[in-house]
Amino acid sequence: MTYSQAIGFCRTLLDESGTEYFEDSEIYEALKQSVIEKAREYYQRGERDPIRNLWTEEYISGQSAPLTNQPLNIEACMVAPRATSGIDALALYVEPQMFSHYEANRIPLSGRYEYTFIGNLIKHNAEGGARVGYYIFPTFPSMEANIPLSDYAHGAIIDRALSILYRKDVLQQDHAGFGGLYDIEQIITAGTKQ
Amino acid sequence: MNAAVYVQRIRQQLEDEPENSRKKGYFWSDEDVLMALNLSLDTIVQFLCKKQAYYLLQGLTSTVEGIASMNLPNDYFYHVAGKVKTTIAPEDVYHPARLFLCGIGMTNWNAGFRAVHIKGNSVYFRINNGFGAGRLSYIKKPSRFALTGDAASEPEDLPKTVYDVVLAHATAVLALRQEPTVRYLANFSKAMQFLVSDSATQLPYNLQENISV
Repeated sequence: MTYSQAIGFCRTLLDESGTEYFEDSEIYEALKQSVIEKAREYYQRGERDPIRNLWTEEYISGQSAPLTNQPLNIEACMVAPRATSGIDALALYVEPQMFSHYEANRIPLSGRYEYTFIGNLIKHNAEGGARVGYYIFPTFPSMEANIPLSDYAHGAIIDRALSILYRKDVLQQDHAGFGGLYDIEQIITAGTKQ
Repeated sequence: MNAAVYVQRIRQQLEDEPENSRKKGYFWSDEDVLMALNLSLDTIVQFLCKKQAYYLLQGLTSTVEGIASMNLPNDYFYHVAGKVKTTIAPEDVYHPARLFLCGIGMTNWNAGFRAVHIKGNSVYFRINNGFGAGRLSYIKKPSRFALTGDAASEPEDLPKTVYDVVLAHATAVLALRQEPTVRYLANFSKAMQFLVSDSATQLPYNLQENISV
């Protein structure tokens, strides 16, 4: 589904006040925010399949390099312990301020391989290169672009976008209820939602 | 699949028919109803995949085989399981393999597992810390609701009870605009509970003829 198709369906579901009040650009902004929120939510719930299209891996040759894309979440950083060894050691994430304490000496804290992320730079303390796996922060090139998450997440994205739009408006108690219409688990366990 | 019957049933439930004395003409266009049906279809099929209710998804199961790595099929919807093998005995027959998604697969790449890794839109078959041949079982995309074109002539690939639940959900979503009410969501909630809880008796149960207007 493209963003313009999603805008069309959002406008279909907006009640009469919303249909005349919100412009396409506002609905588009709500959809963007919804895509980002849902992508983060799926990651935190451990559901990797809906955000599978955002996955990418990059190889960096030194101890520090910028990532090509802005990351949504960095899932893993595998490093090569020695300059001549393969990339098969898992590096653990540490906060930038902790990594900077021993960065100059390149001595691993407690002997483990570690990495951090500062600005757009990946830094690690192994001798060889590293392979970084992460989910790309969703981009929005145009309204005709496809929503990057899996097809079955599009209903939930539209639902979230509508609840975002209604929160911006006044007289919320007069609007139709959105926020959870495409969350089947919630509907079954919590009863109906108005 | 042909959506004519389902569109008509939704209109009946929402009292959206031209001859209705209170509402002249259609409130919902055919495109609106089809969009709601297809979104509900994807959502509910994905929910059934997560619940591993494969007895309801038999019409959507499929497999694909490859060597070392390959792109996911165009009709891929959700993963099920994987198998791998090599050409060297005794590994030259298919063995069940672990299935890893994205980052978890990356950290287990050289762990020596028999594994199928799905990363982005690619599948990798790993065995004995190297590439092998493999087979991925997956759920296909369900055929879309349509009124015209090739999609309208595709056969139904799910039991009737699943389509009835899809219809109930789509009705609940559309109804929220015109008349905020808990009735449609309550109907959908009961239908969904029935679908996932009563597997022994629901499969041959055909609801289409029993729907009351």
